[in-house]
Order: sequence, then structure tokens, then C-alpha cells
Amino acid sequence: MGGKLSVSRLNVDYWLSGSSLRAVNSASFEIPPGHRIAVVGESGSGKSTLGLAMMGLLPRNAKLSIDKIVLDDEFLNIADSDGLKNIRGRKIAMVFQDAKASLDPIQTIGSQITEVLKVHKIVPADRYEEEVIRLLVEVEIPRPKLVARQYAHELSGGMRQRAMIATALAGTPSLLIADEPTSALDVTTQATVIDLLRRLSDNGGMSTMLVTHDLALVASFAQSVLVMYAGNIVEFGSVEDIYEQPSHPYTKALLAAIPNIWADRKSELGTIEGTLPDLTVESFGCIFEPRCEIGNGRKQCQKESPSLKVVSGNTHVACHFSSETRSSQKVTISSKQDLRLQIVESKVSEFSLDSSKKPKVIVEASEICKTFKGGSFFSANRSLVTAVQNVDLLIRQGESVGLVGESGSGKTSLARIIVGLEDKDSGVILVNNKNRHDSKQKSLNGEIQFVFQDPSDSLNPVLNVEQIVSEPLVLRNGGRAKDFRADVAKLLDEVGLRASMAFRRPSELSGGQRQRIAIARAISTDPKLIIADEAVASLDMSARGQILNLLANLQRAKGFSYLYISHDLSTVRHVCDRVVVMYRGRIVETATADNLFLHPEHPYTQALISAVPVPDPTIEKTRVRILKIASESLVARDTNSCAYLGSCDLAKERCAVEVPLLTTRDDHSTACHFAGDSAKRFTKQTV
Amino acid sequence: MGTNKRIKSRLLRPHQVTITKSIVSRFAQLIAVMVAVSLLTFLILSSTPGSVIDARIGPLPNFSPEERAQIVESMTKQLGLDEPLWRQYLLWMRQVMQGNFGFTYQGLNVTDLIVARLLPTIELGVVAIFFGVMGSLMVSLLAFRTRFRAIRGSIQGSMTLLLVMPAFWLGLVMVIIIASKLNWLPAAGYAEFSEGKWEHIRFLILPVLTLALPQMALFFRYLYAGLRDVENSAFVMASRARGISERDIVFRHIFPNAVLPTVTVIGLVAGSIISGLVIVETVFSWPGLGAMLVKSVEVKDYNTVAATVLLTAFAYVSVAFIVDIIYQVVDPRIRRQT
Amino acid sequence: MTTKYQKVFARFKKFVLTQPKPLLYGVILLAPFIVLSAIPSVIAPYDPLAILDAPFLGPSKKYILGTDEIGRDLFSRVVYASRADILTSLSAASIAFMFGTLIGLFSGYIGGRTDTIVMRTVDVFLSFPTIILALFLIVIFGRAQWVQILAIAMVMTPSMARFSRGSGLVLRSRGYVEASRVSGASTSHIVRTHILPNSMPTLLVAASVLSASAILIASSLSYLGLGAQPPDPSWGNILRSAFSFVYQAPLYGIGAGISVTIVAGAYILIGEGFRRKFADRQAVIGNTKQFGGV
Repeated sequence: MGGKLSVSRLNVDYWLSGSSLRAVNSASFEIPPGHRIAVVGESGSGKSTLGLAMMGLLPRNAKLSIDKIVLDDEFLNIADSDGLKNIRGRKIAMVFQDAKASLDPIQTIGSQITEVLKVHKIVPADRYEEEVIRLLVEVEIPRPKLVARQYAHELSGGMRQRAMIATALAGTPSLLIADEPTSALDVTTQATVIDLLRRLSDNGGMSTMLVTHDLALVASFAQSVLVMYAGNIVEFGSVEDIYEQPSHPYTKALLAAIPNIWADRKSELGTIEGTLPDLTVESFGCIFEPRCEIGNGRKQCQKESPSLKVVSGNTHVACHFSSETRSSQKVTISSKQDLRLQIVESKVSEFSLDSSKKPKVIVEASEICKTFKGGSFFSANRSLVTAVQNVDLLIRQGESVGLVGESGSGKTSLARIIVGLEDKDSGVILVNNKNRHDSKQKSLNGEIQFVFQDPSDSLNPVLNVEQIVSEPLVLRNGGRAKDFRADVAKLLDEVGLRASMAFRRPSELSGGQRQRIAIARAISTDPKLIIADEAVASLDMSARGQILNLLANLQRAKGFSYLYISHDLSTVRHVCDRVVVMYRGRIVETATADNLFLHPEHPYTQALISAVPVPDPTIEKTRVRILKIASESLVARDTNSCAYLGSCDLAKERCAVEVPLLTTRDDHSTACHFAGDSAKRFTKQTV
Repeated sequence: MGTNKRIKSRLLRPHQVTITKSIVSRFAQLIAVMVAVSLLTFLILSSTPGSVIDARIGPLPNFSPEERAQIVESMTKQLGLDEPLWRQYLLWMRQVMQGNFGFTYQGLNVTDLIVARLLPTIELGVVAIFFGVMGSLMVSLLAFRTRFRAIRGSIQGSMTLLLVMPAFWLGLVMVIIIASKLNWLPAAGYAEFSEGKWEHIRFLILPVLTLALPQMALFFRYLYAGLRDVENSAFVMASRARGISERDIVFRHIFPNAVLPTVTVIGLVAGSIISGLVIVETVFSWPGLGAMLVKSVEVKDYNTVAATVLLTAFAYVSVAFIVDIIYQVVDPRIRRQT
Repeated sequence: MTTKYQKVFARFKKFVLTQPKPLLYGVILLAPFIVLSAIPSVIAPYDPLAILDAPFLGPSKKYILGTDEIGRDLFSRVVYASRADILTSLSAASIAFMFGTLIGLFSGYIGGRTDTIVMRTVDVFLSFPTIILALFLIVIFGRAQWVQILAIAMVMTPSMARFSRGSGLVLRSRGYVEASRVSGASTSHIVRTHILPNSMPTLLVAASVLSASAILIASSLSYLGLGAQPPDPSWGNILRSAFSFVYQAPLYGIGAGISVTIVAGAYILIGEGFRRKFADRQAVIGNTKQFGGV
């Protein structure tokens, strides 16, 4: 068993235009052999820098200083290039977030793995091919002989990530650092890849260090957790201890900010006030003090910087008053389970009443179909991609509908068709019972508004806030931005911004602020429906809660309907009344939010919910998962078979020849031949 | 079971099917462009202010106005200029396809003229492209790998300088220094191959240099920028993380990835060379098509000008087409698009 | 005690010093030539057409660059020549920039069939190598200066169109453009308000490169004898004569050659300066994940 690691006082400073910034401050920790540790923090915490520093991969303007780093009882020399040659790939290996960008696009997978074998002289030359295949099999890639001859762009996201893991394993490292390895993947793929990493760590005698911002993911993977804030390790201990009884106020706040898929719906999400401190300025005292709920203003916290001390068992904390944090409510496992049951039994959604009492329909989409011509050379590559197939969707006034699906599900295309940014091939869209024609300019009038995913992309950097927010009003009523100054001030107030921000430019604002402006712009025309496409996916955890709360409050105040598109199930559950699940262009299941999450019927929905990590390590340990089968891309599919064929673990012959239709019972629709059997197997264990 | 067989054969050779489709469609595009080019050439040709004939025969003071009008009329019929425009175009195209470009003022066959001057031009162009590309590959690698800022700076500086110097100025400088002062090479002229290999080459060197150096600078710009871009990409850092040596990273990862997209730039360089040929041939009295074009423009010999323009455009488009196809075959990203 | 003038000067100085170096050097190199082309009579000591002395006199205090083959002062000729070349090239570049940008941005944004048709047409024009097309147009339409300007403009418009089309295409999928569409904006509103301002950085860089090509083409044309006609001076035709007299007066063409090189180089430097200035602004406004919240 290898991978025993000890790091002592590692510091990283960046030099930027004259001033220096301390990205990692005196980091010290230990990992026992064969252990799974997670390094957790938001962006700016220094977690990625820590991993890069250990491998000597820092950019040229970074300065590294360290007491010592010991791996498997051997002192590692990360200061000069000779020492690093022996470490990189051989003792410590790294996998990155974007597998497509991390693999050479013009070399085959096999040749890149071989390159690693050659450099570190792992096996003699005549055994290269054999070893490559062995590695590909170990990372569970189907048809390894074929994949070895393929290029990175020919593989799907999950396969690419596994290939990258294979190149990392080729050097037989003692420690594997995985920097956000699954952030770019679908949640179902993420589940399988994390599973793989877990298995490799347990079997292979190698330690794994998972660097991530996703606290739920950590609960499903790690044995120990290292929490970082602004370059400092603030807490370090076993995953159970930290999640059940956090000792540092930051950890506590982070845990509170995660939308738990099982928490009370419609309650406000926790947030962390304030922003990251300016790291170029040397700070005295605790670095978290300005944002700390127990330390803010306290003399000792302002004057003296706390160092890591053992608190209980294996937990180390850097806080003067950790006992106060620890003594606040301890949430036990059993009480959480009871909480879940309570929610299940008590919820009655107003939308499960019979149709005559339901609010009127605002948007009705029927039989929408859309196909794209795939490939980047239109003439040479005529493969058709079916984005949306025969979809019906109803949205009522005041309703929040969640549209859920992974990449390729068609949810974004459907949304864009409804709002008018794309043309549909066939079908009808009625808005307030009036037929809406395609993307012709006249019919787009701001009745339906859109909030985009990336706030830095959805605001024109050349304009100021006033011009941006007033644009829809200018388009509707004519005139100039100045004429709507009063309206803009009111809108800014409604989204929680000061009216004085009207003259700032987007580049001066933070992500959360930009998204608020996008929302202000969206509500300026008093739309009947707002479509939010992954509106919080690009934001940090603390900002997410704020934005989601804002949207919920605005909806309550103004009464518009809300179509919320996301792949993140936990936020969907928190925000939506009704949820629609899409897979490969078809709707596979629709139900109220509670019914969907507690009694999912379609195998895909089950796999989806199963795959979402829950920020509770004890539950994660005992979970039984329903997984998607990984070899989906290799099975023939035509228009007469179920869309989920090939990934479905319940599939039988009937699924290959007959498209299942949506059958509704008690307001819960499912498109599966075996919905009944599927529903029965989703027990408390699988959750 | 049948479906499985179908998949298997598709997986075996999808890219071959795609490439053939692509070549065919691009060839169709090529033909379409050539037709459009010929149309445009003809249109410009026919828009001479005043009549072609008037320009050609001049005022003819020795003839009376009526006699002149008769001559004009008979020539008009002879040249088919009284026909509707589209008919003229088709007639002209038919002739062109048969290799007949008409006659110059002096009555020489344009086609013969062109053929006689084709070889020197092609020789100059091809040699220049070759040295230009090879030179830029070496220079960009040097600039990229060197540790000394001074070397990199001076390379970049001299490349920029070469780009902004007009070809005739560069040629003049070289003639002054090398031919006049040092007397190493002749200033202008041409020697047939039959007169001896070295003689021929002696006359070739200066024109090739004048033509190739700016192209080398042009290509260098793209190559060097490409190298820098690739150096910053994620897979380079990932390769470092695997322990690959810096040298291997540069030659096996960075260089191929940077050079590949620049293959298409060669098409652009070809166009630049064709333009450059006109100047360089004039400067060094090289008996090629470029020099002929300039003379024809001076005397307003429309037939020759039209013929040369058409041919050079065709040549340019064809080179771009070939380069495109080569790139498609070589780049695995495009080759393997199933 | 700082006066108002000192304050304004200080702000101006700060503005100037924060610009990227190539931009500054480029402007410094170019400015004198612009001045020359505007008021040549102020700088040039003699009339460029006047025969003053013996031919082929070397550079001296009286005649800075010496005399030409007829006895005219070369320096004055070079100075006056700037008017022809710079005027021609800047006019052509401006025309090409305006038309090319308009065509390209609209075509790129609208996309679809319109874009394909426009780009195919542009491609046909691009199939003619630059000088050859210019020569062709000149032989048909004559040698007047306006023909020169239009010929060069026509040669450069297609590449500018292609370039700005790329911009239009990229910007079309930006969130703020789509948000505008959702609220009912017309194509011209979007191009005017969103696409044009945001493509300015790249377009300015292209414009500088365009200007450099313009002057190179213009001087090439005059070198070939198709530009300004004798006795009017242009840098190109001065160099043309220089070739004939390489043995008698090797330094004949130095003034003209260096001038063209410097002006073209200045344009390129300005372009490089613009590129550096807007490099950070290019992609996205900034990483949204840098800040914690609010």
C-alpha cells in the first residue's frame, strides 16, 4: 500500500504586476497510505494551487517555498527540474477537469499512454501494447483495442476522462491528484467516474486526492476532508466528523449553503455574506474574520491568526473559538431520516388538484420537433441530430416548472424554441392562446424572457448597467436609456442592487451582481414567463443561494411563471413545483417535484436521482445506486425504439421495437413499458 | 443481429466515406468558383469605357470619317461585339476552353506567348515557396526555443521588417549590395538551363530571395503565433504532469499541433507569391508571365491581360483547393469525423 | 500650485504612457508623414518639378538627398510624393474598411443563406491575387488617381469582409445579443448596438494591417508605372528610376524606399499596439468565479 504523504508548511506566492499574492499559506497535512482525501473550497481558496504546487506545475510568476514534502518515506525534491522529473507521472500523477483539452488532439489515446510508459520505463518495449490494453480495461473502457487507436474527440466525455485516468495510472503513481475531474461531466457520468476512482484507490494501493468545490461529491468519495479558505487550511479531519459536527464557522456555513435534495422545499438557502479578502494585502489576524458569524469584530480574531490545532480525535481546526461552533446543533443521521419522512408525508402540492381548479395555461407547446444537421462541414457530414422529438409542454400561470436533463437531452433546444431564439421543424406554440410564429422579430416582444447561464456573456461589456437594463423598454417604447432612469432605479432595487450602480460597467461587477442585472433586464417588460437556463451554474456556491432566493421572491411578488432548466437536481427540487425529465429529445417523466424525487418511475430518472451525491457521508456509504450502463454509444437505435435503450438496466426486447408513450396516472406521467416494476424497486435504500 | 453487423462495418470505415464525399463536394465548389471567376473577368473586360475597337485603332487621321466607321463596323462584326453580352461570354469561354486566347495587337498568338513564359514563372514561384516555407519553419522553431530574448527579439524584428518592405525596395537593396558593390551575382537577366546549371542558378538566386523572404516572414507570423498558442494549451501542462521531457513536448506535441492548422495558410502564401511574381519579374527582368502582364497593361493589350488574369486566378484557386484537401487528409480531427 | 494646463497635460501624459509601446512608436513614426502629406510645401526646400542643378549630384547640404537624372532635388520629390501615396492608400483603406466591415458584420450575423451567398461572392473576388486584380482594373479604367484608389479598395474589401464576418459570426451567439433578440430587437439595432462596438478591437487591428497593405500595393502600382505619372513624384516611380541608375547613383532610391517601409511599418506597429491593448478585453469580461458572492 503506498501513498503515505506528509506536507509541511507549503507556501505559494504569485507575483502580479508588482505586488505579491499569497495563494497558499503554510499548508501542512498528512495522508495515510491508500487513503482518499478531498480538498474542498470555493474558487480563490488555493485548492488547485496546492495540487499544482506539489507537482511543480505552477506558472512562471509563482514562488514556492516549503519545509518538506515526504511521500512513502522519501523526501521529494520539488524545487528543481531533476527532482521533478522523477516525481511527475511516476510518484504523483494528476488528472484535470477538461479531458478534451488535456489530451493531445492529434495523437491517439494509445500512443499517449505509451509515451508515459516509455518515459518512466515501466515495462519493456515489446510489452507496451499489452500494458496499454490492460490499463484501458482497468479504467473500464469498453472495446479497449479500438479505443487505443482512437483520438480524443472521438470519445464521449466520460470515456475521455477514463482515458486520462489511464494515462495517469500508467506511471504507477503512489498519489493521484484529481482536480475537479467530473465538473464538466453529466451527473450520471460523474457517478460512474467517481465510482471508478473509489475502486482504483481501494484496490490499487494508491492514495487519491480529490480537489473540488462540490461538497456533496466529497461526501460520496472521501475518507478525510481538508477545507481551505483564501489559501489557508481551516479545518482537516475525517469526513464523518466534519459533516456531522463542523468545527470551523466557514465549514459550517458552507455546509448550510448546499441545497440538500431532501431539505425542506421553498425554504431559503443558506448564504455566506461578504466576499473574498484581497490577498495581495498582508493580513493580520484570522483571515475569515470579516465574514465570520462568531468572530466578526472580536479582538482576538482580528489580532491573532489561529493555527491548526487538534480539537477532537483526528480533527484539526484553525479557529480560536471552535468549541462554540461545535456546540451548536448537532444533526444526527437518524434525525435527518425522520426529517425526510416528514416532508414526504406532509406535502400536498396545489397542482395535483383536478383541472377545473387549476390556474390558466400561459404557454402550451404541442408536438414540437427539431432536428439539426450535425458536423462542422455541412456538405460532407450530413448526420442528423434529433434535438427534440414530439414534445408537449404546458405551463400554467404562477407555476414553476423544472426542465431536467443532461447534455443532449434537448432541454436547451426546447427552451430556445419556446422563447423564439430557434425555429422548430414542426409543432405549435401558443402563448396566452395566441399562436406564436417562429423567430420572426415581430412575435418576439418580451412576453417570454430568458436568463442565460453565463452572466459575463449575457451583458454587453461596452454598455453600462442603465443601458443594459433599459434596453427591452427602449425596444418596446422607443426613446433612449436616459428616459427610463426611474424605471431602471426601481428594477435595480427589486433585484437587491443600489440605484447608484446604474452607471457601472459589467466588468466592475461580480458574477452574482451581473446575474442580478440580467434578471432586472428580464423583468423589465413584465413577462408572463421567465425561462432560466442554468442560471446559477456559473456562480459560486454562496452566490447561488442568493440568486435562487431572489428569483423565488420575485416570482411570489410578481406572479410570473417560471421554467427552470438545469442538470443540477438539488436546486431543481428546491425551486420547482413540477418537474419534467428529458432524455435524448423525449420527455420520459413528468410529476410534481416531491413525487418525482420520492417515487421516480422511469429508470433514467432513477439513475439521475441515484447519481446525485448527498452531502451526508453516512448515507453515501450505505447507498445502493441505480446506474446507467456505460456502453450506450455502441448500440443501434432507431426511431422505433425507446430513447433510453442501451443505457437502461431494465431493458427488454419490447424496448427495441416499440416507443413507449407517456401514460399518466394521478398527474404523474411516465414513458416506459415497465414503469410499474421500475417504481417498485426504488426503495429508501437507493436514495 | 443485423443491426450489429451494420454498425460493425460503419465503425470500420466511416472516415473514408466522409473524405471522398468531401473531396467531391469541394471539387464541385472549385468548378463553380472558376466559372464565377471567368464570368467576373469577362464582365470587367467588357466594361471598358469607350469601345475596344476605338482604343485599338485609335483616331486613324488618314482615313475619312465614313471609311473609319466602315472599318469599325467590319471589325465589330469580326470580333462578334454586336452580339448580346451573354452570347459573347459563351463564345469567349468556348474559345478559352479550346486554349484559344485570341491575338495580341501585333498579331501574335496569346496562347503561344503564355506557354513560352510559363516555365520561368513556375520555376521561380515553386522554388520561392519551398524556401519560404522551409525557412520559416526553421526560424520560428529557433525563435520559439531560444532562451535569449535578444535572439527572439531580433528574429521577430527582422521578420516584421521583411513584411513591410515593398518587394522592389528589397530587391533594390539586394541588387545594390550584392550585385553592384560585391559583384557576387548578376543584377538582372536570365540564362537558359541549356547554357549550364550554374549559370542558370546564378540568375535565379536574387529573384528567389526577393520573393521568398517576405513570404517567409508572412508564414513565420502564423507559425510563431501558433506555437505560442499551443504552448499555453491544457494538454501541454497535462503532458508535463505526466513527466514528459520539455524537448519531447516541443517536438512531439507543440510543433505538430501548431504546424497543422498553418497548412491552410500555404494557400494564402501562394496568392501572395503570385502577386509578388509580378513585381520581382519586373525588377530582375525575369522572362515570366508577371513581366508580360505588366507590359500588356502598359500597351492596353486586353486579350493578353484577360488571359493572364484568368490563368493566375485559376492557378491560385487550384492551389488553395489542393492544400485544403491535403489538410483534410492529414488532420485526424477532420479525418475521423464519423 | 498646479495650473489648469499642467493638470490637463499631466492627464494627457498619463494617458499616453499607459498605451502599449508599439502603439506609441507607430504613431510617432507615422505622424511626421501625415504632416508631410498635408503640408509638403512647408518642409520641402524646393519645388519638386523644378530643374535646379546638374543631375546625379550626391547628397550635400544644399540638396539633402542629391539630385535626380534631370537635376531636380530628390528630397523635395520624396516629400511631395508622400501626398500621392499616403492619400491614395488611406482613402482606399477607409473605403475598404467601411464597406468590408458593413458587408461582413451583417453577413456574419444574419447567417444562413444570405451569409453563404455573400461569402461565395467574396470568395470569387478573393480568387484574384491582389496586384493582378488591381492591374486588371487599371488597364480597363485608366490610370487616374481615383481609379487607383477604387482599384485598391476593391481589392481589399473582400478580405476585410471575410474578417469582419468572422466577428459577426462569433458575436451572434453571445448572450447579450440573444437577450436583445428575445426582447424584439431588429437586426440593425443589434448590429449597431452590440456587434459593432464589440468587434471594434479586432476590426481596428485588421484596419491597420489593411492600411499597411494599401500603401504597399499603391507604391507597387506606381513602381510599375501605373500610378502617378511623370513628372509628378511618387515613391514608387522614384524607385523605378532608381533601378535604372543603380550604377550611377546607388543612393537614388534611399529616401523613397525608407519612407514606404517606415509608413507601412508604422501601420503594423499601430495594429500590434491595438492588439495588445484589447487583448484582455477580447474573450470574456472576466471570470465570474473570482468573487465570493453578493
